[in-house]
Amino acid sequence: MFSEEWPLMMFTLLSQLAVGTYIILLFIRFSLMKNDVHLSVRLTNPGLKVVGPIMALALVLSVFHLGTPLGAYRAVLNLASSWLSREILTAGGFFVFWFLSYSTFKQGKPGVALGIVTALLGLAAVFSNASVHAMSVRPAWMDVNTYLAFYGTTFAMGCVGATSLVAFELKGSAVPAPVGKILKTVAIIAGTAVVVPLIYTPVFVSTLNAGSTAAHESAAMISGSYLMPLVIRALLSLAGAVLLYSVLKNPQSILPVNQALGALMLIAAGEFIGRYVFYATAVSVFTGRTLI
Amino acid sequence: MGNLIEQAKNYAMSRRSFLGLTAGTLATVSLSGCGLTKVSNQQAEELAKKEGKWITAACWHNCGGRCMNKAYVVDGVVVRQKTDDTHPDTPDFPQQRGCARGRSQRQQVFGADRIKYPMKRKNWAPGGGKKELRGKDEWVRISWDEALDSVSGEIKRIREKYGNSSIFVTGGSEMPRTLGLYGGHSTHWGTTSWGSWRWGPAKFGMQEGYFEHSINDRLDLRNSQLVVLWGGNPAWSAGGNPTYNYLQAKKAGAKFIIIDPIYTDTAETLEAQWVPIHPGTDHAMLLGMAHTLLKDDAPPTNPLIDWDFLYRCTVGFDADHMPQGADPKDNLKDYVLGTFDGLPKTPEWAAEICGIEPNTIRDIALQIAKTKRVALFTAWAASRINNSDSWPQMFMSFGAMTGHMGQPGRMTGVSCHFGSGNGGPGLVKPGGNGLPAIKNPVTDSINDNEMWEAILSGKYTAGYNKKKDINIQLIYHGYSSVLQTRSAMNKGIEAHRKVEFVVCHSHFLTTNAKYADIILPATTEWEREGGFGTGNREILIHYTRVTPPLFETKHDQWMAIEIGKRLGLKAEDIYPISEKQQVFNQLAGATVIKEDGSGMETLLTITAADIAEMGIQGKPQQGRITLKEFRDKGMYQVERKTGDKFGYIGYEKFRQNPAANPLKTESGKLEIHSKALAALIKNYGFTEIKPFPSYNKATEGYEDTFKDWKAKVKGEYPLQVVNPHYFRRSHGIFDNIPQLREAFPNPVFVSAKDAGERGIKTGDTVLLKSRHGKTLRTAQVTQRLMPGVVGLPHGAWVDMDEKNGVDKAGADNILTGPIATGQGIGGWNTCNIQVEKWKGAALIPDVKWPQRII
Amino acid sequence: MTQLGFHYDMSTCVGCRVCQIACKDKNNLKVGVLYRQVYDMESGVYPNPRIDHLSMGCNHCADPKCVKNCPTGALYKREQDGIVLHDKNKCIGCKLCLWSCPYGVPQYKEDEGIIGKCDLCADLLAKGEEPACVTACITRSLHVGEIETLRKQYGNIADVKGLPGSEMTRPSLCITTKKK
Ligand SMILES: Nc1nc2c(c(=O)[nH]1)N[C@H]1C(S)=C(S)[C@@H](COP(=O)(O)OP(=O)(O)OC[C@H]3O[C@@H](n4cnc5c(=O)[nH]c(N)nc54)[C@H](O)[C@@H]3O)O[C@H]1N2
Ligand SMILES: Nc1nc2c(c(=O)[nH]1)N[C@H]1C(S)=C(S)[C@@H](COP(=O)(O)OP(=O)(O)OC[C@H]3O[C@@H](n4cnc5c(=O)[nH]c(N)nc54)[C@H](O)[C@@H]3O)O[C@H]1N2
Ligand code: SF4
Ligand code: SF4
Ligand code: SF4
Ligand code: SF4
Ligand code: SF4
Ligand SMILES: [Mo]
Repeated sequence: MFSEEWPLMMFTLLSQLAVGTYIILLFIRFSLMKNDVHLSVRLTNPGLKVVGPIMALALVLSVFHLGTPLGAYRAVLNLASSWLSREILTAGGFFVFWFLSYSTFKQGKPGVALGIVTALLGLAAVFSNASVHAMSVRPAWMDVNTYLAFYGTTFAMGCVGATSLVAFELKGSAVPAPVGKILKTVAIIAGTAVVVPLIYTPVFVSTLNAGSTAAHESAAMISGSYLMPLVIRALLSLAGAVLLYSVLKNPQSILPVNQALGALMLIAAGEFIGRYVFYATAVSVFTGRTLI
Repeated sequence: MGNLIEQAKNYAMSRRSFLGLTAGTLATVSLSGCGLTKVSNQQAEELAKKEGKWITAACWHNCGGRCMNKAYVVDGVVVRQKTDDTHPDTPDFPQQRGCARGRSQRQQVFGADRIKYPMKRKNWAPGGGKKELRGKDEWVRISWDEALDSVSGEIKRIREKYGNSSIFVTGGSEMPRTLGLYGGHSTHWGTTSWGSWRWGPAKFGMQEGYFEHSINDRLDLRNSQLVVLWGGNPAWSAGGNPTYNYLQAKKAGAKFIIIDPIYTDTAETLEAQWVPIHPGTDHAMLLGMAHTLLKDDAPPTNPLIDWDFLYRCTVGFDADHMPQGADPKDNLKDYVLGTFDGLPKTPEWAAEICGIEPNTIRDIALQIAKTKRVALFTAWAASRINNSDSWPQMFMSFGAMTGHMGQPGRMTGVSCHFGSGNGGPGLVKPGGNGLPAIKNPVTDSINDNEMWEAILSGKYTAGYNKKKDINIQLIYHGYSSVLQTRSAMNKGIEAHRKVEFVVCHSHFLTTNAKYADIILPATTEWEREGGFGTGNREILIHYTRVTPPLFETKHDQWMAIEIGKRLGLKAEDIYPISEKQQVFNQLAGATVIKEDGSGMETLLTITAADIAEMGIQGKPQQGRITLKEFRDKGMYQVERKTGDKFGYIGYEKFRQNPAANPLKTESGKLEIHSKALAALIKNYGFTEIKPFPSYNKATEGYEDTFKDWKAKVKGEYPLQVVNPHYFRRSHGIFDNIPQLREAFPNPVFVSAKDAGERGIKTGDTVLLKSRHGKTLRTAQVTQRLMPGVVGLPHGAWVDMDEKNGVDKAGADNILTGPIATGQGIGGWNTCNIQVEKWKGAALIPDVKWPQRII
Repeated sequence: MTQLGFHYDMSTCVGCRVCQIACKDKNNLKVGVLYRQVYDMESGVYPNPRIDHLSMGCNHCADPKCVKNCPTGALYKREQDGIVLHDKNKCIGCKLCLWSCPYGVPQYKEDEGIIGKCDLCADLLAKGEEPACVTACITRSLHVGEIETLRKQYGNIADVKGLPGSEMTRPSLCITTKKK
């Protein structure tokens, strides 16, 4: 059953990467503007450009998950109660507004309002995406863990994504002082985004253990056959966060692209494994068996 | 046309909409074989919307039930099925609802794996060709002419070379007619369903339970306060209403006790007291119970034994009531008490054999003796046991001791198959088909358990101290699946690879067909004139043609005639009357119980117009309902209500006055000592028994699981395997239906204890091995089995891995041995095995296996 | 608005699966797709084992998560009788209903790229007939009708071992359980 979920899983990861990157780049951009509009534009525009294609790819993948892709447009017909409808709308909206905002950015305009709307749509898309899972009948998903995990991914990936993109723009040239300070904050955000979900995991497992049969089965998997992958996931993510911080802790110096990328790789790998386990350990409340 | 099979294969692979195939198949018929044309889901829905016609469709299998089955036909396409809705449903007058198998009948008739054309084994040549390739060769389509010439050619050749007895017919009523006229053929015999209830009971005065019954009818069962079953799982093996009828008895307040190695769905649903027992040891248990009653019986303070019934209605219970010329020592009472053999058959003695606590044995004996109205039932399963010829007599004897016979709510006898819990003569019956019998000049007939060895060794047992030579060179499979359903399948395969020619009339590549040289495609009942569903005493089903013959399939009668012609016989000698005429004769001769229950009367009014329309010979007649009404309804069901005149109490008159209503035994009474029985068994020439019901250890029974019985050291095959008749199939029939494979995965049931000791978990592939063969299955570990007993469902189509000689399908008869005992018993429930984790590749679920499409 | 639903008698069901097969036949379902499925649950320990069966079609819930979460509105609750129906022309096969039904009812049809589910045999009901599964049951353990009426007759239990809590979707189902 899980194999069918691949496109879906990649959609969640990529869309969260896109949203996160956009938001962090926007944060860098806006924070820089006060001191140096030109620099802010120069450092973030190219990165913001990449966000669109990533989101586009995510959306295309999500369509692959459908049995009837041509009907995809119908997915927004039940906004009244379906989080999936809302997700499609917000995710689609994020993409559209990315385009609008980016076109204004291109003309060197600040586009603050557009940027904020886009960012909010992105956050809403992630929220809907998490809700789609939380509204299911799989106890392992019907928990705030889902929201923590999805937002965690969004910001962790966003930070490393954004940093790497900025690093590209700096092309090894010394980091301007204001940028350094901002990036340090970014590193801290990344750390938080990685650590918070990890800290919550034990709490999550214990709540599952207290729950239904299905919840138990999930808990058993998480603390059993999937424990190792989870440990690896934690180590990778932490390593990524630490690496990012070590790279960004002392400004002024030069920002090494490959190390930034390294951090990106580590965190991406960690999130990937985390998401895999997220899907693999979801057990439906209905556990019918056939023996005869 | 050639790519038709190719197309069919694709269907199987892509598991396309079955209706698509149904429609497609019929399309081929109407377009005279232009290939399967898949009907899209839209078209399917169109069809579903259109007005069609419900046709009463055959469900003709030896399945344990007899139910109403209807097919909805639109534009010649069967769109869906339904069951009985000819009248409102009440417990007294219930609808005849069918089971999952009958409901899958259209999947069978229109199966992509139907044998569509005559087929020849690629490496076959007159004389056999590469005989060793039987069962693994490729198949080649041939014309009917070539097929019929080849078959008749081989019959002629082999008859001339080896004589008529070298032609061995395994089943079907058709070819015996042709071959009977052609000098005859050898054949086989066995106790099949009945085990030791087949021939013996007639000698001591009880009915075998299929053609005639000793138990009361289902409405009277509601008068029983206690119902005790030795074996019997109607929930699984008596399709249709029996379980529902039992539930009515439960509602009426009856308590149930079920003695069975398996905790069955019947036991669960009837909230029965479950008493697990070692297969084949029920006789020992009853002896222990008899001992309890003899010890504790103290009339008048504590009367447990119905001495009046014993003395008036039986002979042989004690030394003072022996039949003429019998040794007074040979009585049951002294045997139980151990008077002469010094071995009292106490509950403790019994417990060591049957595995039931002595106190439980006592308790059950007392419950039965102290309850006024008890039904004592047993199913044939408990007698499909080697050396069990004395068991039915013991069962009867215990019923007689407790007097639970011949009165309302009191009965003793077989409750099985479609007679489960509902005894009595048929209340509505078809007439005869009018076909004159044709005598078989050859007398050679081999017991099922010996037939394969007889083919290999050239010898068989023909009576007491009588071995006979036989040289079988042609195996003719008609309507049967003996290679699948008789013991020692491995020897059977060897035998099939030895003879010069094997031919099979078949619907599918069944086991019989798989090991044949030539397969002749037979029509199913859905493709024929029509016929009758009987068995359940209250109904007569009349089914009619649902579809014209598919592809090039033909009626077995047609094959018998065409082959006969080629042998120089005349068609009218083989079948003097047409298929239609046969059906008409059965209609015209149909009778139904009179309203006052005093006898039978004509069922059908048939007009000259009806006769003209059918285009057959016959004269108009008056009956209870018109032929049209009967056809339209598809069934006549006698309406039952409590207190009506259609009930049945076994032995009622006999009990009231044995002298005036003698039984068909030597003494006219129930014979607890039966010279005739002992003589009968002796004359089969296998094993012998005493004239009174002494316990005989079964070959490959519980005792034989031990290397050292005294020290209780288990041997190489420490487990007993039984073959519950399984939901998915009727023996072999329906085993190939995908939706039934999906519904019933056919695991092997292993007790939690035995599994634990062997490190076996549910889902593991396990190897089952006996002295006679090896087979694989996926384990279902269960708490519902007595430790030491394994449950391997009956009838799975063998699927031999030629590399290692291990069957992958869990075919029961791969494990059973060529063991002939007593009256030639099919003792399939006595078989010793070992179970172990399989180290080779794990089995994939049956439902994922490719269909056998050739 | 009335609400139709099922009564299922767990105390008489023998797990024979003719309801499951009758449903497959009625709806022409391929292997792998089951609008009604029979489950078996073994419990207890030898020599006191227990076997329970559970025959599950759609429960046409009063509060159907499947409908709530369906993004296209392909799943909807029919006003007049509360039957939860599926519009195959709207369905896009997103499988969210598979995630949303606590009873594992909606079935994905690979070859059609959409799902399918029990429609309570609405077409038969319209003709005054009863659903295929109901009229097939050999032990008469299945009944269809106005759920409140059924509950009055058979009691109001929808929570049995092996089933998710009824509060999730408020199934229109009442089950007769075993006394023991
Ligand atoms: N190990 C073991 N063996 C057993 C049993 C057991 O419990 N354990 N049970 C025994 C019992 S009780 C019985 S009754 C026997 C049954 O033994 P069989 O009677 O040999 O079993 P069936 O599968 O009913 O065989 C009928 C065959 O005829 C075919 N057939 C049906 N209709 C037609 C037709 O019109 N024409 C032709 N040509 N063929 C047709 C079917 O496809 C099927 O292959 O098995 C016995 N064998
Ligand atoms: N689904 C299905 N139903 C069928 C058939 C089928 O193939 N499939 N075949 C039909 C035919 S032809 C026949 S003859 C009947 C047979 O019907 P039965 O003779 O009743 O045979 P089974 O149903 O195999 O076994 C019934 C019970 O007997 C138990 N049993 C086995 N050995 C012993 C024993 O030594 N002692 C005791 N006390 N119990 C024992 C088994 O565990 C099982 O629970 O079934 C008919 N019904
Ligand atoms: S019990 Fe026998 S007759 Fe009845 S439906 Fe099943 S297979 Fe057909
Ligand atoms: S048909 Fe009736 S008895 Fe059989 S499984 Fe379904 S509900 Fe149970
Ligand atoms: S049972 Fe499942 S599919 Fe049916 S209505 Fe309830 S939630 Fe929806
Ligand atoms: S698969 Fe179809 S019915 Fe199910 S939620 Fe998606 S659109 Fe709705
Ligand atoms: S009501 Fe119809 S669709 Fe629903 S389970 Fe029963 S038979 Fe299947
Ligand atoms: Mo049988």
